[in-house]
Amino acid sequence: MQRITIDPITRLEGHGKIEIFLNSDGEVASTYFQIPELRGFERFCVGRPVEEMPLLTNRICGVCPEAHHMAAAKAADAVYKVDPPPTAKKLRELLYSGFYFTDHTTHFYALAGPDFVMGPDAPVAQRNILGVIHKVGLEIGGKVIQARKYGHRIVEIIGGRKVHPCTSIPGGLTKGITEEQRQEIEQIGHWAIEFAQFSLKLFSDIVLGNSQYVDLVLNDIYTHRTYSIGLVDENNRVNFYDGKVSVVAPDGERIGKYAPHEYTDWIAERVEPWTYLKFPYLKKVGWKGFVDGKDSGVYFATPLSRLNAADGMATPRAQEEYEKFYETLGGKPVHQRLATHWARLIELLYSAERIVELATDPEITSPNFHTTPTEKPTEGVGIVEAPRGTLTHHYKTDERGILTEVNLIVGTTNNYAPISMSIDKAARSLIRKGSVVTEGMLNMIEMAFRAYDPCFGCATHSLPGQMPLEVTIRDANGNPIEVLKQFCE
Amino acid sequence: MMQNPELGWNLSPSPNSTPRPWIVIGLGNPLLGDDGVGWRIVERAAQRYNASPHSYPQADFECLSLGGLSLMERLVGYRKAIIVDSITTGKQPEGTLLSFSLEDLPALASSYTRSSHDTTLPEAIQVGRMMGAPLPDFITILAVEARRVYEFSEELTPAVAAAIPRAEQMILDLLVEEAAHDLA
Repeated sequence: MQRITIDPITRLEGHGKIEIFLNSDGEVASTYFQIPELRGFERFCVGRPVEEMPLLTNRICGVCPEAHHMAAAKAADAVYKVDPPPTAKKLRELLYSGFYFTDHTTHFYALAGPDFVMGPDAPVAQRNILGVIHKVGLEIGGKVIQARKYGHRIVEIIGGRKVHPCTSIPGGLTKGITEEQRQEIEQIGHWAIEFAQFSLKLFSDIVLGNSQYVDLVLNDIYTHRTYSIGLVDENNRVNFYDGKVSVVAPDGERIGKYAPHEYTDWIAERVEPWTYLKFPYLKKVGWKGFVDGKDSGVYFATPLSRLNAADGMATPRAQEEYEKFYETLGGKPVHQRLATHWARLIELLYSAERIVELATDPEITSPNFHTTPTEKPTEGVGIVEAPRGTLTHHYKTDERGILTEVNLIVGTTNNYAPISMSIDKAARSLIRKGSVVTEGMLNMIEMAFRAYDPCFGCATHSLPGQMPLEVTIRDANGNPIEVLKQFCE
Repeated sequence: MMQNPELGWNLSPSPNSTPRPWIVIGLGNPLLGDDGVGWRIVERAAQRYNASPHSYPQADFECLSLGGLSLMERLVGYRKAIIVDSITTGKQPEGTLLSFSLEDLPALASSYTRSSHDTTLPEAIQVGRMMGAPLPDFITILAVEARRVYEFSEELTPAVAAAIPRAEQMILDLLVEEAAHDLA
């Protein structure tokens, strides 16, 4: 049997790699995707006060600290059974919208963009954000940098500092915002709407205007019919910060919605012998293996699944785009995973519109931003939508609020099974008997998981700061017969 | 467009936007075992610097858990930078101290794979320069070889911790040497 390994070779064995096993005919026999796992976080937290969690969890990784900060704050609210005042909830959501705006912008222009703007077969040296800027123009590059800066600025105003916010505590926030700050955020919001509309136009021109890309997006290689989940408000519209998790079947039927404290009734975790990380699945449907369909409990949690799981968007311009999205792609739900890039831009527009909505809310500058907890702390669950999937924090404490148990299901973990399936399908479709494995082919396999925006947060800390990939093709005895590197040693 | 001068880069530097001389950044996650070594080194170097600031050129010290574009954004407005981090080449004994320029980083890490969530720092620096951002013309990286960077802990392994005094001294020496070099 031959074996292809896509492996982060500067890292320890066993972390974050894709293995593709070929049979003696040179066709794909099986694939495995192993995600680097951060070990011992639960144990690290036990014995600490629950109030520390919004600060501690936002140090889990440098990619989405704001998401952990929010999920932790909501779980801590629940532990103390305290309902923050409306101003606190709105300010948290406003901060979170600023974060989404930055994060989705970065993904589209730095990660997804190169595949479409430069093309999936473009030389790797050009398939990056620099290539994108060269091609679409310096002015757009400037806008991308500006968009990031504005998003960071909102986080800084409400969260007290850039990137790693520190103001959410059980019962609300430690500070509010002034009228001057409100005006600044509102101004940013108007700019953000224009930028998001511009980005959607760019997507429309570059991707939808190119029949080859449309074929690629609609291609069966990148299609999976699984359940979709996502947080929705009381009107079943997409919400990133609050609400219930809606669960929609592959045929579009909503099988239910769960509140954060009900998550264990809905989500179970499957253990596989070849990886440390568990595979979450829908408990009510059951685990049937890595397969599509209504009988399989595999679900996904991404911008695309959030749109599928909702009835619409809560802001007018994003709603228009939502309708256009489903009209263009043939109705709900959409299963073509590359359409996630489009869905992400619709969410980008929603986050921008939401910034303006919240910044112009009459309550937003109210000094009533905290409710003092009075109940004894016990147990609580907080859920937010991280950009790359539903994020669940579950804490148990003693009566002093000292943590006794912690469980987290993070964004990318939700998507572990569907990402594995997407890689498998792409590999099987692209690597055929007798075919030479090219770099373009490997990139198209990478595109299968890039749509999910998987976050290997831990891999971004130590230098070199990114996960290089290596592909090794091995013969039946495990000896490498060819090494394809997307990496220069 | 926003008019707030606090936001956005000054793309055509004015006399009022003189870049600050030095930034020393400790990178990593202080909760992830040996990944926190960059923070420890920079915290200690900052303490010694603050004890006698007149012995050194003007420098700011920061500890961050960022990469790619976000890290590049923090370098804007400085003439020179030292970045201190853990590194996992797997080819050196734990605790080995490596020093190299940013230009040499691509030799250790691919600058073009797209699998993680951000760009590499060299790529981000190129983006910044393309946009006209005033970025340091001198970026040195100090890295400590580490293995245990996946497990949550605030403890460092002894071999990695042993590298701290040497690394801290290297930072301070570099500040002095470069200042002398500038004068010459």
